[in-house]
Amino acid sequence: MASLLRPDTWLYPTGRGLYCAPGDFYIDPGRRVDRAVVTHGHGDHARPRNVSVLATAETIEIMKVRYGARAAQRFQTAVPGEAVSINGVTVTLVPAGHILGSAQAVLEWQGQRIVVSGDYKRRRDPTCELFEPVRCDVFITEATFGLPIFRHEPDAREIGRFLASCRMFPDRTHLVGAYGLGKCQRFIALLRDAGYDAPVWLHSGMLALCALYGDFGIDLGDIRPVSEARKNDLAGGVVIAPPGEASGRLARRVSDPVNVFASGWMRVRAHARRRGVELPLVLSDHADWPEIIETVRDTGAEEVWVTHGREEALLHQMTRMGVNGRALSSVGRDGRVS
Amino acid sequence: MQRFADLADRLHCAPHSRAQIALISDYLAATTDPHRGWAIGLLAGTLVLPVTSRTVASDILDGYEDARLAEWSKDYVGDVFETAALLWPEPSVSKGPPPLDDAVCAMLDVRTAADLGALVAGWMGHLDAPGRWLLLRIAAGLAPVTVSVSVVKVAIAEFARVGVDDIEEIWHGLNPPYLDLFAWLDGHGSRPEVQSESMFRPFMPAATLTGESAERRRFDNAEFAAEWQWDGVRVQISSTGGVTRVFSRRGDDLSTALPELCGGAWGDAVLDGELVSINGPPGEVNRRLGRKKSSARLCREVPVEVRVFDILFRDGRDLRRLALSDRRELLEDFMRDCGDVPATLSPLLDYDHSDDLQRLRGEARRAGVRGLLLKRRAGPYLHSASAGEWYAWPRAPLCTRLAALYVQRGDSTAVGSSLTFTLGAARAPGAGDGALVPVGKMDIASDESGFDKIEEWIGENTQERFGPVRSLAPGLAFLVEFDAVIASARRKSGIVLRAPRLRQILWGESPDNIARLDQLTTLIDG
Ligand SMILES: [Zn+2]
Repeated sequence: MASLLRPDTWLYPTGRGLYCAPGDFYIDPGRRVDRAVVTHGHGDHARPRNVSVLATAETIEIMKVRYGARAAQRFQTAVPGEAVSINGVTVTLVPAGHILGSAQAVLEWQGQRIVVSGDYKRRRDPTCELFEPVRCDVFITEATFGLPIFRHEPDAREIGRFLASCRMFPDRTHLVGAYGLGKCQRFIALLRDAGYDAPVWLHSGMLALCALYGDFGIDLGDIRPVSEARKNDLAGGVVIAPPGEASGRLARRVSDPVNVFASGWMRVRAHARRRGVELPLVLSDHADWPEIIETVRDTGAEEVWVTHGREEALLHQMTRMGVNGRALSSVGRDGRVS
Repeated sequence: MQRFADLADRLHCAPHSRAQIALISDYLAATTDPHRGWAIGLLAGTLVLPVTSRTVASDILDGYEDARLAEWSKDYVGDVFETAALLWPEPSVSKGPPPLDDAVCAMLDVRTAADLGALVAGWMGHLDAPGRWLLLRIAAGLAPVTVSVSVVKVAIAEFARVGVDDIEEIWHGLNPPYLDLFAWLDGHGSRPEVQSESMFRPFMPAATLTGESAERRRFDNAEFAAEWQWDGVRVQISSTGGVTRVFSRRGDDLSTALPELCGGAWGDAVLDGELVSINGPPGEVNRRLGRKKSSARLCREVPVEVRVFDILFRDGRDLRRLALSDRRELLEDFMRDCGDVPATLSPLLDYDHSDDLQRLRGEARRAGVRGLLLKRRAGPYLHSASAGEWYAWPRAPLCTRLAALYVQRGDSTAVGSSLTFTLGAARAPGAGDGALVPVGKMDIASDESGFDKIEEWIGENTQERFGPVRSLAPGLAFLVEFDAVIASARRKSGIVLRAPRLRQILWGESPDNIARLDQLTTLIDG
């Protein structure tokens, strides 16, 4: 696939976001643009008010739930694995394994292939399609957990620790801090897989997205708004709330809760203690260090652009692997006004 | 061992002692002997390994496949032990770690640091990350996790549904893995007998009175005896069969550091008192306790004696259930009759009512004592804090304005979190901004009003980070109460404040108002 074409002449970051020049579109733009390809529904990737958006059906519905009429002027649904042409650039969305509907954007132009992976993880998740590695010339990866200390524990083990804690403290409410899109639903699905069938109480902001997961066939069992709970419903129960809310007003409704936080950051227990987390669960929707390295190998990319997080250490690791690594923020900076 | 690692992991993040107690008693119920006894020994710090190695963790970092990745990881995590545990490869196929009993026995048999390192390396591949962290800490001779010994005892009591006093009474006569203790608690044996030898008995604690609470309370000489609170170190002298041992507040054996006490003709008794230096300033007494053994020269340089104020046993008879007034009579008899010992009887202070106490307290600083002790005359000698028995009423604190130089996040296992500030005094008038020198450290707990504002301010005014410590821009100062100024040769300022406490947060205090070092130095005790 070697080509004389330099990849950073046709895909590079700009003030509005990552821009594909020949296709005249942006990927996950940070500001309003005419034409956007959106990898997944998280707020730092899917912004409202773009004119036209290409995304998976699930991502489009998530954007509609989150942004309502402001979501976009026009949506174009991409079927995973099916190529779409935008001004001569071939765009294919391929599952990224991150959250419901998440996709990598595979871009092809003049015989060259660049994969924008967005956020991704490699392990199985009952709420979304498994990541599919795609061979490419350039792979753009996140580095959220770009240090070798970050290795996520197996899901079943962490859920096992959670359920053991529920048994050990049968009178205390387990108050779980989890992001409202993705982590919340995955956590409930994992609980159900482990046989937990009691009601799960949710912060009101999470209900609409959980219902949407239901529409896409992901059954989360008995979920209820925490606002409808009487005080003794919550003793010994499970409440899920966004990380900020978990420590605020809600925390005062339940006496002496076990503060649980499900995140890859919880691998470092010093972090957990600093945040006042009593039960840290290492459960992440992002690739850990070994997954990032494995994925770079799987793609066979000769060049890797790194973004989102600890770029320095991952770039160093690319050098050790004999791969040409660059910080995405530095791509296209030499000689061109962007 | 994995089960103990899971326990330590949960204890590490437990927000309060109630949760810790529940976790430990749950572990005791689910774990067999001798594993649980070793676990108790590790948690309470009563199990001491013959060989430990401080460098086990840093050796792992040094040996990591890439030095820069190891360095970045350590910078991110902060703690060397946790970093090493996290970097160690995950077990692929593992037969699991050895049972705790096997692991502890192997470590007890080790004779060299190299052998210990080899043992640890062999087990690392069978533990998860929190388990590896635990193992590295144990091998370094560190506490596996910070838990107070009293929490451990309460947990044992709750697990076995006995009173904590029953555990307390025999605790210091027992050793890991506590087989006799658990046999008794499980109903398979009798209560261990530990009366015979000279053994540590838990001290009776005193509740500290604050200025206002003391003034509200009315003390009456008929009900409460008053004594000076000597400025030294609380000790217990336990003498029987010609053998005398001296114990610290925590039950550590200080005998070898205090040969003149152990050589005294005490007879058969257990006494409670305060060890003080006879001539020097109060801090001097610590020079005698800082090392395992005291040389003859050090004994001459820093002569010490005990101000005795209570008697717990006499000729094998337990006096602790007697009223203080009865014990006092027996103590006075005993002190009159006993041979040549470096001890004096701590006198009772004469007073009629609370106003007299107020006056005595005012004299405490000049008298070189820490304040007053008030003890209910009718009360027994108890080893758990009991309301209304003994009170310590410290002398009025000194107060000054000091600048915040550095801050570090404190231990957050207690209820809420805390910040530890390094306090600075000005070196000399007009010597400029950089001329602040550290004179002590002060904790501020998260329930203090203004804590959130301080946290926010720190976020915006951190200058540099050195591991967990941040240096701060000028602008934050405190009105600080403290008990005394102590001379300290090993500190740059030459002094350190004792027991500093926040009175008030000062925002935007002028640098001219910060206390000067030369002013503080004039307040040195003794
Ligand atoms: Zn995301």
